[in-house]
Amino acid sequence: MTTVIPFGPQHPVLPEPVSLKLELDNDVVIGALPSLGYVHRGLEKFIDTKDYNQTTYICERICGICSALHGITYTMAVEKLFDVEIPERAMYIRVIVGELNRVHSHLLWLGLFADGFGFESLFYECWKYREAVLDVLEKITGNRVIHSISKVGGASKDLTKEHIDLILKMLDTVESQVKDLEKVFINNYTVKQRTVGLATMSKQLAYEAGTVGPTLRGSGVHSDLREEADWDIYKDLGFKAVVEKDGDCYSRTKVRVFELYESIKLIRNAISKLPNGEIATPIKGSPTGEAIMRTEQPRGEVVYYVKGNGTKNLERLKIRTPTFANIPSLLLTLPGIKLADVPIVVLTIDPCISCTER
Amino acid sequence: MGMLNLIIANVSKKPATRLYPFEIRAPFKEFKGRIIFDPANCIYCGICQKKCPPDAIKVTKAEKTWELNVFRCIMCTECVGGCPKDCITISNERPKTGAKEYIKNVAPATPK
Amino acid sequence: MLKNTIDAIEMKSSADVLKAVQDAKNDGYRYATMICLKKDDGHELIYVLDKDYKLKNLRYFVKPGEKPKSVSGIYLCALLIENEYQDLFGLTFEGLAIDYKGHLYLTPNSPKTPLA
Repeated sequence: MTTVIPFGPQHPVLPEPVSLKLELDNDVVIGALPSLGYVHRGLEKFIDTKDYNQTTYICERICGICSALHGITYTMAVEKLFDVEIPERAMYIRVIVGELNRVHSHLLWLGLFADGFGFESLFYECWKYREAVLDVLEKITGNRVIHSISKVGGASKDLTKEHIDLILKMLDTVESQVKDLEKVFINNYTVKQRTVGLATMSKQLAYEAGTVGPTLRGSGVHSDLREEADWDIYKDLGFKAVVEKDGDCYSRTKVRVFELYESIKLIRNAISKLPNGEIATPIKGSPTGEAIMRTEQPRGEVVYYVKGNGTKNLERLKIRTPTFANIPSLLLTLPGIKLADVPIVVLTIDPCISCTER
Repeated sequence: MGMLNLIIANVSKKPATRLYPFEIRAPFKEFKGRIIFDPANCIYCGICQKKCPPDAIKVTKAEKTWELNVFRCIMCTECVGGCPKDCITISNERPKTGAKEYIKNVAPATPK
Repeated sequence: MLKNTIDAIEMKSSADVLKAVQDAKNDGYRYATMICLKKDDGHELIYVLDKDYKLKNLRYFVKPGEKPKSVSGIYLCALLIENEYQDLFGLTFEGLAIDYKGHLYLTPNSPKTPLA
């Protein structure tokens, strides 16, 4: 006999409302049906009333955690419509803030994940270390999470010598702290017992299920948009995608832990190569045409489609966020899993529901 | 052994949090706290109103009023950069709890 | 008037789309997303597929009243985006793997087809 129980929309491990209807046979899941729509705000419609500069601020408010990269992706998509070259310094500033954003997002996720399997002290440690990153971001951009660093045509704020010293000092402490965290997440007996071999996705399955980001890379697929042609700058910075083979919850965790080091390395390299010069080019006129821009967010690939029709307002803005692509994989991985493990599996795709529904 | 070190470190160190209402951290220099409007030079051109993404600013040229809805304002500083007369500045002080919803500025009647 | 356009292969019929998507899957493409636009009373669908950071776009014009075929039988992950467009544009996809019947985001008393 099967029982159907709802998982969410309010659940201790879910920071945001998503509901999963779980079909259970005793305590083993045999089917899952996600239901969305609790935080749909209609932002794709809302841009009708705002011009393309103001839309940057809307895009940044799609998600609180990856806000900088939403803004950067949107502005780069619009710059594609204008066919403008933006100053190199602005690109470097975007990369630095974007990677800082990734560091704090991954630390946040590691904390939530630890909380998900009941490791409260580890949760507090992660969030304590994250606070240092947020303080630096507040010092350089003026806000804790909504940074507004990117505007159409360049960067909105310059990095001063002081800021760079602050970042470098913070990175040194955070790197040593991440080393401590890594020991726990990689070697701890409890963590391993809860995650190894859980919800394994083969390379083929993860690819065909359309997953992106750490979920895809955790299954052994070498796919990170920071290697894509639009992002030449990452090649100069010596970027290497983190890929783990096993495809279970443990390897998805490992991807995120090792990406922290990768991000720290990228920020250091970007600072050492930071060129001098202007931070923005003036942009006149109205966008026409259509363009697709993709970037790698902490949670995976985000796709922005913009279409301008020669007026100040964009005609269409379509955003495919990483969680939107990752949710269907839950339908495939959850069957066969014990009810007690469901929170962990749901958390390993790093669900960001505000992103998903926009 | 690692755990023991952590426990000793955590017991001997100060807590990571602050006892908030009694111990307040000074706001950072760059922090976007609140918008300050100086009516002295304002020409009521309305550029700030046009640039404002959440439509928080209302300017009327005829009556010479400038109004900011603080609750709508998202601290994007578009108006600060856009003002041709540098009338709008940003301060790193947080607005006090229970602040009024509107900051309204009506220009004094100009002497004839 | 459009200065920048994305390279896309025009599709004649819904069956062609299915075939092209199936071929793409056999070639090792990943389903990235689908974009829906309003165009001449009907809708335009752009299927975006990705392989080695290269995009392959299929453009298909849906005539008013036509019911396009769902690709969720080929790529399961297409079901969310197709359900989204059922909500927001009022399209109907035939053969959806899981059909939310226009209530993925919207509740019975919310505005109907806000983007259409």
